[in-house]
Amino acid sequence: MSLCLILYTIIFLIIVIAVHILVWRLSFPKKQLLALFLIFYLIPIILLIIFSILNFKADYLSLSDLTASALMYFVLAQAYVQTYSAVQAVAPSLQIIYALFKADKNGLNEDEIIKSFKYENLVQDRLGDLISDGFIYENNKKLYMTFKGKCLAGIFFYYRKIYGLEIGKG
Amino acid sequence: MSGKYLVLAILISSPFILMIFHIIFLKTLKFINMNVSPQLILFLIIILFNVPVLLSTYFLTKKIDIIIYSFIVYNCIGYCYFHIFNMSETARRIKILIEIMQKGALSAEDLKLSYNTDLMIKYRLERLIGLKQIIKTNDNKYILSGKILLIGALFMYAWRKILGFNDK
Repeated sequence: MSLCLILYTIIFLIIVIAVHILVWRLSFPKKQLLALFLIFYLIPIILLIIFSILNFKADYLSLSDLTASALMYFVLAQAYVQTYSAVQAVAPSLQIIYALFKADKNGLNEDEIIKSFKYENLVQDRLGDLISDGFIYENNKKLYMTFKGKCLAGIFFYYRKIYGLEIGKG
Repeated sequence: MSGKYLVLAILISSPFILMIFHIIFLKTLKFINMNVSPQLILFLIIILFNVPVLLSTYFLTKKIDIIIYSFIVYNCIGYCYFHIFNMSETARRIKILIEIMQKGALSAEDLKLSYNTDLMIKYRLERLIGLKQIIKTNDNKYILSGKILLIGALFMYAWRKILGFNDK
């Protein structure tokens, strides 16, 4: 795994992020998770398969270098996609930090911090995300989980159980 | 087996190793009645594990470019794992999903009862104090004390602008 290959992998990721920015600016997707999956995973996997076939004939890269480059790309992509979820949802903890940063050096008391948050932004908008990403649906004014939602909820529920921790406070 | 493949195997197994050590540390701290933020413990474990990961990369390959590669990949994996654990603690969407899973269905009114805005903010203030990012002064005001999440917050708002989110 040469330094050149590390650089090419990072450059590839930068190109994928540039495509992501372009798509978001030109036509903000309703199903953001699906769009992220297509841009960061599906299309690169297809390109990897095509490259692997060409590489098999021309032998540009050894198998270990190809595997290493693919692993590096996917962990970098995953790191970005996970960061994006906090960016999209405007993580309340980061909002608090930002509010304290903007405040004067005396800081803010609890009431001043709480006043800057609305239930709609904290909860309603996240419900909207869950519905548009296909994890829940509404029927007769009640919210139900889809199969995808049950899988995701189950993973985190049992993950916390392995730790011996209660469900997160949210 | 070549050193490179062993390094890849170490990197791929690193999230599971982090999880095992994180669980051991948390259970040990609980046993000795020490109350420390689980996110802070995980953060420290991730940082400390750079040492065995980079040392084993060096002894297996003795190549600087592979050490640099290991450093980048391991810390990305560590970051991703931290995010997953943090999501299990703090993500609103995950909490909503688990609540619906436990109750079968939820109405908007049920959700409002479970999701008290004041409590949500209070929990976050406690966590931020536990992570040493803010402190509470004697006159009950909160001020910044750490830089890591501040960098995160500034990045978040800047990136939202770049992506075209409307924050007005």
